[in-house]
Amino acid sequence: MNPHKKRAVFRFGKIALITALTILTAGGFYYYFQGKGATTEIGEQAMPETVSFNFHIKPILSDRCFACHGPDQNHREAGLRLDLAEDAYRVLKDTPGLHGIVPGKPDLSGVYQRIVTDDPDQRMPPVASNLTLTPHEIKLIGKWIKQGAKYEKHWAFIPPRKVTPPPADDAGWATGSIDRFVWAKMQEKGLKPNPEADKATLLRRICTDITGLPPDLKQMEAFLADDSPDAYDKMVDQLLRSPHFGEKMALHWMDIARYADSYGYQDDQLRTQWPWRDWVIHAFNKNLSYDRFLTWQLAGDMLPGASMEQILATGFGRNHKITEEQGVIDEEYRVTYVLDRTNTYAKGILGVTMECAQCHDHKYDPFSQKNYYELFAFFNNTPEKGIEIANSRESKPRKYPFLEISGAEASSLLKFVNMPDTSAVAVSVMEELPEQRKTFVLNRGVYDAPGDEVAPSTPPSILEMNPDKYPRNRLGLAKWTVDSQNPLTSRVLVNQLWEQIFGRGLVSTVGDFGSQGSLPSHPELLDWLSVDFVQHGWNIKRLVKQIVTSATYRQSARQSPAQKERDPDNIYLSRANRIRLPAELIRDHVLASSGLLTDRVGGPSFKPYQPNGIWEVTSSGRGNLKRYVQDHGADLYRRGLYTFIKLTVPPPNMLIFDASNRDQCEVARIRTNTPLQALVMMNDPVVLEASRVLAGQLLANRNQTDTDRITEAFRRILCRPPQEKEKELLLAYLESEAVRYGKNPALAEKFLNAGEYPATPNPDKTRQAALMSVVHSLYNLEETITKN
Amino acid sequence: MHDILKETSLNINRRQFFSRLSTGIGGAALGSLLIPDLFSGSAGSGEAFLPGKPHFAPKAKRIIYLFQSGAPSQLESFDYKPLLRQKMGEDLPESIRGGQRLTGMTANQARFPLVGSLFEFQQYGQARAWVSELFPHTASVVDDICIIKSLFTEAINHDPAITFFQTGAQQGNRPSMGAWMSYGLGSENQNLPAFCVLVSKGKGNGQGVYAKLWSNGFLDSIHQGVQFMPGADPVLYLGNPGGTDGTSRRKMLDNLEQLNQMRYEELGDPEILARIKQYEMAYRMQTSVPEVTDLSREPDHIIKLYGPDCLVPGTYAANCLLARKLAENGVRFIQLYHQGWDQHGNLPTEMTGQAKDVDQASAALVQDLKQRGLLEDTLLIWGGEFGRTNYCQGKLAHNEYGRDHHPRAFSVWLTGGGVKTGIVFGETDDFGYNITRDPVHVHDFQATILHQMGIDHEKLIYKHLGRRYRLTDVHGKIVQGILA
Amino acid sequence: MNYIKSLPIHLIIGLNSFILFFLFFEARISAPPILETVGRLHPLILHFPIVLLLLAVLFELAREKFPWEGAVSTWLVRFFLYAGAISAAVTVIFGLFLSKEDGYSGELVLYHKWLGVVTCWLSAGLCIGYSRLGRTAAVISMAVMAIALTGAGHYGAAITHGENFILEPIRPKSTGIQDLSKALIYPDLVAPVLKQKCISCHNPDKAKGGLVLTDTAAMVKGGENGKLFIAGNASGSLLTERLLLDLNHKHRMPPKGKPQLTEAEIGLIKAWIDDGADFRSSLKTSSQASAISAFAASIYGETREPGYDFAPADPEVVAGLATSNLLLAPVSYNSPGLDASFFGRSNFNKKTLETLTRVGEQIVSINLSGMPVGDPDMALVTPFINLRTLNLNQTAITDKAIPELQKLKKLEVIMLTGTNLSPGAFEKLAKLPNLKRVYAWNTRLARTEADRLQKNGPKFDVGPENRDSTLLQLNPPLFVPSNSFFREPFALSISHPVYGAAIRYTVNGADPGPADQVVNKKPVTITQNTVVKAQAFKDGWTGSEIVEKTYQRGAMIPTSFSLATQPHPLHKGNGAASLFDLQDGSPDILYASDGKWLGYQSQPFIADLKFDKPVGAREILLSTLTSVALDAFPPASVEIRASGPGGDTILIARVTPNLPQKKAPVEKQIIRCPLPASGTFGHLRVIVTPLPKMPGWHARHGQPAWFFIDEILIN
Repeated sequence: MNPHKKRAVFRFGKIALITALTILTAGGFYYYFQGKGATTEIGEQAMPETVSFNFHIKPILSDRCFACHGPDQNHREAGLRLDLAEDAYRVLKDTPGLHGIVPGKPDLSGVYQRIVTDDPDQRMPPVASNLTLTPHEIKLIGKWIKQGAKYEKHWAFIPPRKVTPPPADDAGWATGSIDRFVWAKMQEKGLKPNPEADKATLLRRICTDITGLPPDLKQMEAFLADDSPDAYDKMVDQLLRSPHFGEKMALHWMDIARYADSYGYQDDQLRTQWPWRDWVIHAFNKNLSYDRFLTWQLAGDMLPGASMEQILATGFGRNHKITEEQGVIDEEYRVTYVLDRTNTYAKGILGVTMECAQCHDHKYDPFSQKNYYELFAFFNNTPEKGIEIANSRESKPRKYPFLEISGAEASSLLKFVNMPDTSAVAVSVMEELPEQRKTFVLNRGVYDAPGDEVAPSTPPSILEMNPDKYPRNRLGLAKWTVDSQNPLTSRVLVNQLWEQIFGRGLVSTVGDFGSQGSLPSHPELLDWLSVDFVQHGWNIKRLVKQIVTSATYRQSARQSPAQKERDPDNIYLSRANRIRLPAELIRDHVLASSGLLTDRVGGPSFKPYQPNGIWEVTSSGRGNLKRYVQDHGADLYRRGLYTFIKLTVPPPNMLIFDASNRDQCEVARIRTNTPLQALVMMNDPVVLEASRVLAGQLLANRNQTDTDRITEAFRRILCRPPQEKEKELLLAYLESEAVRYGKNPALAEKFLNAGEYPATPNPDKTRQAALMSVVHSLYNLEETITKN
Repeated sequence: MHDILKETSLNINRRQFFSRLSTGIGGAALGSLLIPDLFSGSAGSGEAFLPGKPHFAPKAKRIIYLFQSGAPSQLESFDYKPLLRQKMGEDLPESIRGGQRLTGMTANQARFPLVGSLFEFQQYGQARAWVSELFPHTASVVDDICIIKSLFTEAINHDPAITFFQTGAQQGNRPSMGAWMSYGLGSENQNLPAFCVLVSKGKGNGQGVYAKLWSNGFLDSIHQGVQFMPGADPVLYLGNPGGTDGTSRRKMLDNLEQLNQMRYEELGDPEILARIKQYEMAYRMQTSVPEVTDLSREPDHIIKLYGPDCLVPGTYAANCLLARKLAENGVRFIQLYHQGWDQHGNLPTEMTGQAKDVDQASAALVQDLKQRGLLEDTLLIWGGEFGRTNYCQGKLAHNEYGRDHHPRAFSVWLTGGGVKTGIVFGETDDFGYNITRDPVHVHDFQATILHQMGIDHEKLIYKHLGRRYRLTDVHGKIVQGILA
Repeated sequence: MNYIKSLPIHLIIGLNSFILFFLFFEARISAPPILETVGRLHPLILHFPIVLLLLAVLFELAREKFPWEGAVSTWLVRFFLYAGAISAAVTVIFGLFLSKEDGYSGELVLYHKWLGVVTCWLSAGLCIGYSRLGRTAAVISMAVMAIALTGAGHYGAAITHGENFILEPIRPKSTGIQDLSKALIYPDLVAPVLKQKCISCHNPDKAKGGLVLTDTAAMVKGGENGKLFIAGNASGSLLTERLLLDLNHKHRMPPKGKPQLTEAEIGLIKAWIDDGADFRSSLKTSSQASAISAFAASIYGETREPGYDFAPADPEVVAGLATSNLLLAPVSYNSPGLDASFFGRSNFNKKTLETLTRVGEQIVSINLSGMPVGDPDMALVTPFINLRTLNLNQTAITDKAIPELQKLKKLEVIMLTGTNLSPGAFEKLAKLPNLKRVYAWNTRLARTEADRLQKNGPKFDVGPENRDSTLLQLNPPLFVPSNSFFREPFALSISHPVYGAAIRYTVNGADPGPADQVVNKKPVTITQNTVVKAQAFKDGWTGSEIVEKTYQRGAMIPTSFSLATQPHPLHKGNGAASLFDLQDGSPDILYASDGKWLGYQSQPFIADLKFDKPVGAREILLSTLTSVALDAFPPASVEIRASGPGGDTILIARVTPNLPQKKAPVEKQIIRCPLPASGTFGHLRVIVTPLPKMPGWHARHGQPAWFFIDEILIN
């Protein structure tokens, strides 16, 4: 081959080689970017400019990593702890030279490597854990490390700061502080507030939220007539003054305090804690400041020169279930009660799920098992017994220690206790042993597996318990709880109230402000409110007024498709939430609107209509509650709050509407929508009776036309005038029912035979039955059992 | 250093490569069941009864659980211990008791005199299973059931023990097995609740049952057990009031729907539509439930099979018959409770009465299901919350004695739904005190039940207040030995 | 121009030199992921060179045969050669990249690689040298290339599909285990499963994840990801984890697209591990014996579930068909077969059954139990050609239905309990080719016939011994109303839950006998105080116990009545109202009464009964309770006073009941107070003094007794 040719071939080769490589690399890059495109598809969420530990990273770590790399030292894998900076930055135990997290250097951080590795054996979280990180989450973590992997204290454990609300909007909608915060968020999310709801709707709304009772016709007329600018505020004040405010507020507190009228457990006999309930109502009505409200309930008995009222308040600590089952081991149950008390305090008042630390260090929050039992120790110092009686016939309606209230005392010292008769009544309350009972860490939470001894103390991660400021006992705990520096107490209360009113907490996990809980939707607002609340002397009525007078609260509930699409859960409050009324208020609403309601405040619980045999079939055949003996007369028409709750068989129509079964502290109810609820509204004697009575009243008024009657019924039940179309429909229905009953009066007779309330003397049974049908269907409207 | 860089960068890219190839790694991996409230009746979804998906092909579609509340004595039923008769009155050797904690009822008893069964035992069926004379009918179907003699639990008192069995935890407001089932699998028949509860009382010493045993716990209340009551209104609030009937109800509902619809058009709240749907479902329940609970159509030979009591509402026999009908109609979980099994004293007499209550009807249910081909995919369980001690509580005479609570070993039987029949599983020592072979913890039992329903007990999880809950907590091993 | 022309050859040279370079530095090269990505296209493009080159060979061989002249065919051959060579080179390069991924080692890969390279170079050489070579040389070298090509292809296939892939189908299948009891767990039961489903990727040649399953030592060793299993702990073992992962999970084994393990196979492996993962142990000695043999049976035994040979239906359609009364769902998770169950007799609609034909192919099970269907409707069922299970329990079908049912050739299980079919009908059904089980309880099929039929036919379940012959006692009849007090004459109905039971009763205190009257539906009218005794009878049953009930009349009711003394708070019943509400109190007042009793202790019970116009009452009856154990005693005395004209009250009757004995039963007692035969009364006062001291024999003797009253009757 001649040199020329050789060179040619060589040159060609070179060119070709280059071309080949180009093709290959090109192809490669093509696929590479394909891959890239796909990942961004998966993690749509926008990547924040600066990644915040509390808001972006903590939730991920807590949910997927802390179980093995969190506060729980007994289950900590590879000695790696990710909830504390210094631990996370350390050198990894297993791979010397490699640090868990190297601020600014994801690639050098062992944690990050393990997250992104594809090697299933290395990959974190492990496949077997059934947990995974989304690409977006992984990116977040990467970026966070790049930005210096800065740790922050958990947001809820930092005392709230009061930032000045954002400026008011130009439209003049957001004037109040609450509204300015809300407006700002809406702006951010591109939402606009709804216009204010009409007056009728507003009236029903505030009545439901403040007294839990619908407005009566007079109130409606007065309010609708009054077009002075402060009409609304006046009405709010009027409602806040009503004795029914206390009842409405108490309802929620009963869930927190797991109030019940029986002991729970086997035999489940009668207990009389109701005077404590009377006190709660009373406290809310006279607007006892929340700090005292708590202090008294936690340690009223230990206050210097404690008054009877303050001791009574400590009934809070004794509402837990108490066993009367023969043969139980005393200590086992005594411990169970203390555990219940501790958990109730933590969940209901501090809004943290301490109970997780009962058996092992908390997996997500900085509460060690030791912390738990230090808290436990505060409540472990009463002379109570695990089991008091040897056989069920000895059962008394109170357990030692208790407070005896004589008729005389009730009519002098404790006027608010609504005695049924002159006989004395006793309430189980708290009492402190002279010297501190030894408390130990209980391994696995079991009473007979004591570990190290502990002394009373509070979780330092929340707020150190300054020894020279507070005594190490319940009273000290109470003081610590309402210390203005306590980051949780006020936030939690504000949030609970907010949830009661808006149906969704600013922190949606009302019972969990910990790492696993959700983050506040409006953090600044939450903090502003809670600081403001404390600054104004823990004034509950003021807080309620603040909220219900806000423009945010007064919006209409209409949802535009846009809103639904942008913010289906209405997290950003660009409209009012429609909320199904709680079980008790449904009852109240039916009774009040029909004029059946007995609005006596306080007193022992009553036993309403209940399907036969529910108690009997489940009872052990022992105990004073083995039979259900329904009440009669006025008692039959008391508010839902006073419904007798037998723990082992709670009132079914209440449970069906998601009422708490009071087995444990419950901070927020779930709201469901089920066929059984429809059945209750259609067939519960109370609803039928109310329909009958209301129909009777309407007919009694001779000079009313059917239209008038329907209109009145409609206004009493729905608290707004019916629209033409609605009127027509109802009239037509009335007629068809009249015809049906006309054909067969016997049926009318049967239908009217609902409930014990004396029949209104009324010649025209057919007419009444027909009208009753109409009223009954009004009660069955979705709107009726909903806060609009 | 360089390697690390290369390694990580390489991994990222590869991961991206995969994320392109395989759809949603992990995301879907856990299965629909991990999405809380997927099947709940919560806002918007009218499909409260929408059936869920099992994790894998289920052997059983439904469960009938004949719970014997109060703890029937294994020593007078299925766990035959002749030694106890020989050693009648002698003390239980401490070596056997091995520090088992005692209930307050016998804790301060000076002696623990062993006591043998007053009742004769015989062997039956291919497994030569020992069954006492108190259960002749059960004995006649031993080839169709699987007897487990080696169950054990942790609690020693009724309330915590039953609660443990039904909710997987001794304390705390947890969802019960049936609620989990309803949550996980929904109902077959949309017109009936997925979880039904039937309660009956025995003649013996009872301990009562508690609504929390069929509670939905932190799940939506739609998953709560619906208690069927004897008499006119089988389901609470089901019956139309006097003077109304199906047709007038229909009219009322149509009227309601129009009004609600108007409201919806005004406010656009989907909850209103959901409410309309629930009323429709309620209306359907009103027709389907009475149809199911009407026992009057049952022919003579069925009545004789269950015993004439099966037509007396509220009896165990009636509940068994009703259970069959509910199973036939696609109810997912049918929970019976028969009370009165707590024989601390006067055991021979009381136990005879209790056995008389349940023996025939339980056996009848096995046969009835079998002959209809229902036993193939119905899991039937019979048993209590714990066992009873081999020593006597209180006064001891050969025909007059009592037994205290015993958590360490007790017997249950089950059948259908892919369970291997005609076998006896597990064994206890000659004192009938400790388990010697194939121990089955309550959590194992629960895991196995879920498994037969096509659910992986480790994957049926619900996240509540930041914590992931399971029926079997963090325990539970499937008992392969009893599976066909 | 010239350059363009020579581009292909440049390319070929370039690519091959790249290959050369790669092979030379192979050890040092670690392919960036991009290139691995590219590598994964190897299986895709390798088909090009195979086809193209083989075509080249073909045309070369068949040159003469072509009608057209040399130039064209030469051009064709060249074209295919070039194309083939280029694609071959690319394929090789991709292959080389792929080989950099882990798990590609061992002989197979080696052969495959080099044969591939050889093919590539030969093709390249041919491109350059074709024109220069003579015909024979060309043909020979092409032949060599072809062989190399085939070889490469074969080994390639072996790598991905496992060795002997090609011959697999024509080999004899591994026959099931003859005798399970003798089986060795690993070699006989577990290994075959692994062999069939796993080793294609986990063999010495292609050890994915460094795992080799062909020899036990390697198994114990495990792979890159650690030990394969922890003996005795299946749920903790990597193997189980991988098998159970979601199908879409990238670590799922076998990966998506490969043949999967059945549930039984997984169960078997788990059981084996739990058993200790021993390679030699036999089934007999195993602790998991029952589980293992169960799984083995379903894997190797006859009872293997038949796969369905049809595609699943469109979920949309399925969802659309389901109604509130019809459950339509896959028989099991991701099975194409559908199960259709009808619920709710009253809402049953045949139309729904018809619409199901839209998924007619998929429906394998229909449940019509208790539905109102009859013979004509069976025609609606026959379209479901794949039907395996049919439930017709409690339906109205008769023998006429059989011809239709006989069309269901795939039917395996049929439920006919409670139908009116004749033995003949079953005879016919038994002939259905696939029928395995017939539920025929409570039909006209006798046990003996069933036995005969199932000798060489499906299994028949005819149920337990018919109990119709056995004699059971009827339960007692029920009285409505159950109250024992009445004011106006009323119709008493006595009923019995058992259909067709006759109830005989007497009102004269005598026990009812066969001679006595029968109430059925027709109620008995009660006009005065009566003791009713009733007993239920029915053929084939023994008579029930005799039930006795006493009805007490209180003809008069005061226009107004009130209590002058208040009852004890624990027993305040419904106040005075309780006295004339005709409500029975239950004698069981332990712990708590039923709220119908008024209870008095150490204070008298005083009730005032007023009448608008004086009445001629002749007797007053007090319904009371005696329960010695609960301190409920008859009163010390009962006085009736009437207010005379001057407002003064006159004692008109006084009764002192006798004290009960120690063993006295708990029972309700009527205390009768006769009033003066003449005279009318406008205002009567009833004064009852409870027993102040309980008798000496009583546990709490000396203490005051209780007096309980639930009703006053005036006649």
